[in-house]
Amino acid sequence: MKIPDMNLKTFRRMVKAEGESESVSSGRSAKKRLDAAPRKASKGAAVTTAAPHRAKVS
Amino acid sequence: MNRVYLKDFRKLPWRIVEAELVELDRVGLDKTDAYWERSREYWREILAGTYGQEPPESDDWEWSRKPSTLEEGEGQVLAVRCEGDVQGLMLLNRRSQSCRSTSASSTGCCLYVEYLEAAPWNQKGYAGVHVRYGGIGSALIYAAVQLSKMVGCWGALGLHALPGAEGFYRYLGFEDLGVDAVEGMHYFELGEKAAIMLLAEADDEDS
Repeated sequence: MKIPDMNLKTFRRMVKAEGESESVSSGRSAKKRLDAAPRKASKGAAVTTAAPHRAKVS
Repeated sequence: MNRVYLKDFRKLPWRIVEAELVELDRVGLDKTDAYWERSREYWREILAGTYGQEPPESDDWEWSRKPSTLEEGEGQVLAVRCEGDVQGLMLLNRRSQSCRSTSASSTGCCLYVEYLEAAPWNQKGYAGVHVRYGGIGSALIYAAVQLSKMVGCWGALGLHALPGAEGFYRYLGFEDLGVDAVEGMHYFELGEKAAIMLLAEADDEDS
């Protein structure tokens, strides 16, 4: 895979669009997501799981 | 290296930093999904405990379960990596499909973006003002347009946008073709003219 390097002008133009939205997510329907089985990890695991970016919240 | 750029918001004023586009295999995708899920859990706790807010629309996404097309040889997972971490993911279907809009492409084909998401710590819906990087969606759509050109679809793309992201795709020049009755989401297409404009205008500004 060799995609041409992005130039800065392209970047600056495109990122303006991100200011127009809450997110950038796209994907197929919720139907597919609901069909998926729940994760193995329980909700309670979050308390003891290391937060990868915890340092950011100070 | 396939170079792209991101906005680094960790220090003010924010600055532009270089990142790279990489292709992930199944192992890389599973590792990323596990790492992201730990981050989601952390931010869910913060949101629920501090603000009583709902997590973003893609909160229940499980990337390791998504790419059935990856096993079938039709899917390609692209990641934006910066400072060693995957900052965003996109699953692109390599098999071109017919455009729904008659004006989208002279060849009548487009590539379909199956899923696209920024890492949890880069989503306002989780991290609010603490987001680390911006420009992830732009970098991934840039890659999708380039790949669409490479397979002969002239940059044309199709995708279903989550409601919070519809403004982003409209601004980029995607045409809103309305709610897809099957998926229950708005379906968008980027036509070849809009794709060319997206890249060409910027090239002109460089000269």
